[in-house]
Amino acid sequence: MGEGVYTVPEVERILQPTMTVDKIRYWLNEGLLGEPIRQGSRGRPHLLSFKQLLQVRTIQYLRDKLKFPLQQVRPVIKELSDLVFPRLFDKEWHELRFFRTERGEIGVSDGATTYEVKTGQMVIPEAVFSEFNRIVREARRDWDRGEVTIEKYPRLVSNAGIVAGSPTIKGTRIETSFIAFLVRNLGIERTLEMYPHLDREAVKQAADFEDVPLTA
Amino acid sequence: MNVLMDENLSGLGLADALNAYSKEYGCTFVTFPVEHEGADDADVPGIAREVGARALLSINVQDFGAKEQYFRALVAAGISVVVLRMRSRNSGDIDYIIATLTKHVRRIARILSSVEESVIISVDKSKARPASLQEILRKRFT
Repeated sequence: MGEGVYTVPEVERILQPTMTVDKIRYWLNEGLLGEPIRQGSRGRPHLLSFKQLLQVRTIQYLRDKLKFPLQQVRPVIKELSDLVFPRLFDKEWHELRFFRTERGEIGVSDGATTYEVKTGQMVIPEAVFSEFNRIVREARRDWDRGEVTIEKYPRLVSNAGIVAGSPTIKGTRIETSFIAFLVRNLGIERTLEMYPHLDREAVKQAADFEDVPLTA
Repeated sequence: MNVLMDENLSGLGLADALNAYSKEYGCTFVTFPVEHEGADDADVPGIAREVGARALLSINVQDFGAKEQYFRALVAAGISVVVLRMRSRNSGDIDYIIATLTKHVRRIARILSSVEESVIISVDKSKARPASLQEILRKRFT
């Protein structure tokens, strides 16, 4: 108990607005995320782990920073993923550091060993390396605390140890899906009356996150 | 016999509504203790025992698949799960929740008092019955 479990659409919702179900499925098929914790079949969705949620987010971020054409970025992302992920979730964390090698490629060092990822003559701006360092540090921080924040919704969180990672209002076990259900049916004022310990902003964020109009 | 209501359901005044019916059948619904708000899943079995509950009442509005392991772990920890199934994200309301649970509260109490091992009880408009997770997952509600 205490490990997050996510369906693909749930990962998409948590990592909105740039994530899509198609991207996640594609990366799964490409082997970038490893095996899902349960293979989906008709009527049974794929189930992904908290680790895989972080992998999806990290790949997205790396992908965004490498503004190469898709054909060229794919092998680089694949190699980076193979290199980064086993180290990122290691018990003993040796911070990964990205830098430009003498040959202009992407260098990755874990303190003990240095690796080189070939980018195929693509010029990588210096700023990308510090971004990579930030992305990986952020992923490790979230891995350590077992929690990801949700972009644009600072009052919401997906904590792997709370309701199996279902998005909740921070500091509670109250799921955004349930609050949205209440707002849809009762309106925001009545919902706040029922849950006086929740504040308006948290309830509004939960409803908005679940695409429930606030006029409901 | 007590049934712990997960934090989601504890703000609805649902406990009073249910207990008006359920006490007759030796079953009391207990709200999630305030001091444990935001507790980890791993602590839920302990919290349930603390309030003398042998089951957790939960609701499923969407993405049931993702909660499978959570429910499975509760059952493995000796806590039964009563899960109210909503037909879809857009159907039902609070009255539906209260009406459905009060309608089946006798049956829920009966099942919980008759089984020796922990079970999952699936509750919807028409019935409350013990079900395996696989069985619940085969149905698509979301």
